[in-house]
Amino acid sequence: MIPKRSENDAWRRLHLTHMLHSKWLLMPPVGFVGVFLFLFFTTVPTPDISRRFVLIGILTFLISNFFMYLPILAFLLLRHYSYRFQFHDDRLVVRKGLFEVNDTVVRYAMLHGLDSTRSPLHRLFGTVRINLQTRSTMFAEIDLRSVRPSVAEELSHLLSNYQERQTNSIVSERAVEESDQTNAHDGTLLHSMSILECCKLSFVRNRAAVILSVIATFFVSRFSQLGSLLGDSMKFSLTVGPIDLTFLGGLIPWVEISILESVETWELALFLAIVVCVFLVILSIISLVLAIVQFFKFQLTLNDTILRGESGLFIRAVQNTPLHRLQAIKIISTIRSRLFGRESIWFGTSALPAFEAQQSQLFLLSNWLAPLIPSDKTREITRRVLPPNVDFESESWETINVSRVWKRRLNLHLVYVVAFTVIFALVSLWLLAITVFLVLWAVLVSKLYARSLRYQLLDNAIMYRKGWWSRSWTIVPFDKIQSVKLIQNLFDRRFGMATLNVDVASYLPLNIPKCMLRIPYIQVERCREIQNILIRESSRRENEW
Amino acid sequence: MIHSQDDSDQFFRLGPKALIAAVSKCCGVFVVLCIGSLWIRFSLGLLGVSWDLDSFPLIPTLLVFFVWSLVLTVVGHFFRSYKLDEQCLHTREGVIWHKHTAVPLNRVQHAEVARGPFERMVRLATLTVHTAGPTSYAVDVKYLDLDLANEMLSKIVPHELEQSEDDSKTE
Repeated sequence: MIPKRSENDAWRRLHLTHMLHSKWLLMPPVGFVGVFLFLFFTTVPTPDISRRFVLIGILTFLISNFFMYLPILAFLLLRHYSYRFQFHDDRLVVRKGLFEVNDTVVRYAMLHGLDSTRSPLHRLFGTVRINLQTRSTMFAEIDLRSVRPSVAEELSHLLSNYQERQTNSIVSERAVEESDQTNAHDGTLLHSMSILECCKLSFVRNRAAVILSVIATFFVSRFSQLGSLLGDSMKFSLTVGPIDLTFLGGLIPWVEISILESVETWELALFLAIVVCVFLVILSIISLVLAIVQFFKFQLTLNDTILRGESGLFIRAVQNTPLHRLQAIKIISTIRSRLFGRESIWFGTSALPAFEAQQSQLFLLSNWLAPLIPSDKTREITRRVLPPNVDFESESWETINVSRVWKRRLNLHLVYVVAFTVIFALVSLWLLAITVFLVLWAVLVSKLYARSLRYQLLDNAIMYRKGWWSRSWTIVPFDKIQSVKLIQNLFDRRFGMATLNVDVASYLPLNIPKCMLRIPYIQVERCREIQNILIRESSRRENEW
Repeated sequence: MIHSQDDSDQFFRLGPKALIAAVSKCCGVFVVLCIGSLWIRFSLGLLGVSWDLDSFPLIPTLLVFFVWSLVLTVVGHFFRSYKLDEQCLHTREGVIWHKHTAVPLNRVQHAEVARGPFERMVRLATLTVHTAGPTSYAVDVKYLDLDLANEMLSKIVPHELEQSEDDSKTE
């Protein structure tokens, strides 16, 4: 496996004290306390038992811990002798595992982070813990739990030697980034948002409705379980207009609504209209406040290769993103944003595994390149941040086979229609009339969706467009592609179709993975062609991290 | 020769040893589950805890799951294939959902070769390739011959120093 051997090739082991850091050592006392508490609360206390309980408990604790520590110590020793590692001039090899033996090979070139920590135990025994990370996950892939400082120094020395040989080393890249970020305050202003734009944004992204819906759902679900118990604890009535409100107090408040008998129908309709209007006004105000707090004085500037986003009323969040970190770009146009002639631009980065990046993204929320931007400026900004030679306005879209795709899509919708039909039939046969409208709606939606799907292969990127109600355009440069997956399920095979998943190193905030490009319903032969093209093109290009 | 070549698209299917290892693993998991379930029931009986599970047909239920997983394992074996060329690692798998994953070699973050107890019995190994993609962070090629897995590993994670030396010699 490792043909070239040098003086560093000998297998090494962790320092024996790494066993003291194992969580397994806490299991016997924790387990015993659990059993003790279980017996304490489930046993009926009598004078004899309560007197002997402590003595028996202490004795059982000692005996059980003795017998439990033996296998744990044996396991830790076996694990210690099974965990070995080698340093090479260009890579690190780790062998671990008792039942399943794993040989992990990490090239220094792919190292994204190296952390060394010293806990009190480490300081006591004069050791150090080393975490080595690549970009494959946010967690440390290689965790040398306890090694001598000389080993850490040797690894550091090897890394330094390696970086001297490599022009594109981690340290130099970080140094460049840091220096760039310090100078990133001045640059070309790409986009800014006024208060008026924030008002429009609050209408486009009505987040208050979502928040209030979640709160209402929570209260309704809770009340269904506890309302009958809590409803009688406190009660008072209030007459507002034509309706009578009865407040039921308790831990979870609830309101019962009843209509007064002397009220005319028009009075009730007028009152309900006023209530709906007031509710909409409250929603709008909350949405507006949220939009202003988050996107007040939003500014997007570009300084050579650094994209700088800045926004926020109370907390001014600033995010500097090197352009080469952009993995993919998504342009979103909803029906409400089109009313104002606006669109939104979102981008995915590969920087999330770093914790500092997480924190900044949490404030800036969802990596908005532009939360709301006039449609005519979208192309300009996208062209500025994308790699050169991406012809964004090219119109050589490839469409899918609409006549087959809408039928395939209709199958999916018909499943829902059948489910609703069964429910309607159980409630009332008159409701079955709605089924006719549902079928017509399913046909219409399937056809519109099929017509909206299209994609195009550019010189160095792939673009995908979908949606008729809410439209989105996704652009993934070839050099950012991590893998390409072709998936066919039973229905796809029947219709001769396949789904193409293009994976890029992009995450949503809070580490939610996001596959950026998923093109469904492509003819299987064409899908294979595209897969081959994407793999060939991405293999030719090096991804600049 | 452990692999037979699929002439249609140059993909390699896994040999009978891989099937033996997969079925052995399936049987092993079933035995462990049976022993664990019986042990838990016996322990609860000793403690005098009755959870009204005595009438539950535990072993037949496990047997149904075992047969189902065995069928999936055997059928899935014939749907599993792989290909490693100069640019890319391809894997194909899936009985109901056919998945063809292609990973460019220059996107590999790190790679590992794992050998479980059943794989060690027949000298097989699993090659796992990690990328930075959220959905393809680990792409497996299961039940490869150990030597072949190591050979593929050294091809996927090339020796840069050797390569640079070779390049300088050719220059």
